[in-house]
Amino acid sequence: MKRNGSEIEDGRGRELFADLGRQTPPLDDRELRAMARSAAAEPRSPQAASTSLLSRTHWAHPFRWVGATVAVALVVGSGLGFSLGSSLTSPESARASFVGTGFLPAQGWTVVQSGRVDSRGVASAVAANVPLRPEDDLEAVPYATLEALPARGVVIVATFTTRGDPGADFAYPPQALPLQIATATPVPNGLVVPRPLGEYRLRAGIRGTNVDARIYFGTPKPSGELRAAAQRQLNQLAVAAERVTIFARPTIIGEEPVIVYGSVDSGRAGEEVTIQAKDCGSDFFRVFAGTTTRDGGGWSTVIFPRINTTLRAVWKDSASGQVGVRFRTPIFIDRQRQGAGFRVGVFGVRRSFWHKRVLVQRRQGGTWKTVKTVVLTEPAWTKFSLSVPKGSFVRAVLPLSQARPCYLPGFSRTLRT
Amino acid sequence: MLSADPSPTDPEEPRSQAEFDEEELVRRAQLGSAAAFEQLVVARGPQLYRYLAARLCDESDARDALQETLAAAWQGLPTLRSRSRFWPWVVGIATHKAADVARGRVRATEREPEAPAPDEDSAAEIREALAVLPDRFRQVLLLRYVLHLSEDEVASALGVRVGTVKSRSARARKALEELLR
Repeated sequence: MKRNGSEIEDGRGRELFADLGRQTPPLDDRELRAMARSAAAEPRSPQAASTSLLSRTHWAHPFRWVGATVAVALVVGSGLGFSLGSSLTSPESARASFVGTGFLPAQGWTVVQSGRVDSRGVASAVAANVPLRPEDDLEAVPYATLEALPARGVVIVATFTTRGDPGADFAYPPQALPLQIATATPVPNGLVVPRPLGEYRLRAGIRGTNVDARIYFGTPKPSGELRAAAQRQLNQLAVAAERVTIFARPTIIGEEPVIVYGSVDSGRAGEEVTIQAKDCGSDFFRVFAGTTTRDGGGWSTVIFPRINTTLRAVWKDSASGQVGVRFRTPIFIDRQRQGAGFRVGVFGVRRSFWHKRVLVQRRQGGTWKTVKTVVLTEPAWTKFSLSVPKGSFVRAVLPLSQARPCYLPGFSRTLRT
Repeated sequence: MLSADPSPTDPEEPRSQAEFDEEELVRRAQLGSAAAFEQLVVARGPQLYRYLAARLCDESDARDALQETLAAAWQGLPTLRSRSRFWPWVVGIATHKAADVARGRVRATEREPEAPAPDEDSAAEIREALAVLPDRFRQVLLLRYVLHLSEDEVASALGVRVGTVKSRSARARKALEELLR
């Protein structure tokens, strides 16, 4: 359909643009809420407060893929000596010994926390010398409690993340416990809920864990007595450490590299860490890469798996847990350099794809329709002819049935014939 | 010519209660309330998704970009100084995320329009025309005509000056007009 400028001028253009939006099936509330919850489940990284959101730097959100679900993770540290929910703690329980990451409650304090740093590398804890309000949904900042915080109230919110991300570690100087309130930095223009609170921040790298503690006082200028109360609770902070940890991001890849990182519990620089990999189809781990730790025991390196792979880190006689990285089959479709036909195949893979079936699809009537199935006659590619109208959009697809078990399905870029 | 202002608004018009509520929700979300953030997403998500779907010509990519946008928005909310600018701010994030998705996956500009219904040829035609426009033109048109942002808000979302938005809008409209002729 051709149209002239006047059609557009009379407002038709606006309608056409509106059509673009209307054609898209809307997301329902449930899906939107799930997306929101998923996003909000990730603890806010320290960098978020100081870095522009639009930064493209990967390090700006060091634990974006970690995806901690704080609300779910906030469980009582049973067996760790932690107190429950908003009940006040007796002096006896405050003296209990424990292993874990978080607060042992000081006398008269309430703590809620997740316990150990989980498999995704995140834990959180909230301690308060006032009862936590039930309407707080146990998020990183207990908003309702802070809103009602009396002048003598103190709330400490701590987030624990695994060291190893150099983009984050620099902000967490290695320290020994206990953390000192005297070294906390005041946060200017802190929370106003609705009256101003005193907000202080402490960041430290402790035994392979970065601790980010925010201390809220009920008054902008806390007295020495209040600061001493906060220090008593800070003295009860404990950080457990696995001997060596490993994390990877992203865990589903195409052609991009994978950043693997973690920490060792010695907290020392210069320790050798070996990254071992077990490729799909293999029964054993092989040495894949090596690196050394930085100050605080964190380490990181970049690897390029070309097949579904399981990774682990080995330090001295200890092996970390395992993380899996899955690889999308990199498939291509292009024109032959000579002749009228096309080529289709996979590139940069470690396995033969000989006799695998590739679907060639054409965009037609708003959907992709398979117009041909091509068998790869070479280890990784083949030539074929295709009869479609000039200007058609085509792509190649390697379905899961052909890709598994060692690869994920792959889609080529779209080619205009 | 396409109308220069798709949604003229009176700058003196008092802000609606909804906008005030949004500011309150933003404030709460900044403080860490996931419930408030969820409400913001429910209110603004559908518009954002429509924009991303039109921008990326792919519903799956739009979903991914929306999820990325929400994650970044949640992380960055504490840095948002003016709560009343939440909407253009989040649209700016979405614009960048859409660009990332378009770069990282199948090039959206090479795609055929997504699922045009048979009786919606004209919209499909617009999509095809948009697909061949330079990205900076396409962004401006979609922000203006799909999200109905003001020039000021588009400038804020894209991080450019208002004058740049005006010139890009004019050039984009002209280019689109030529493509549709």
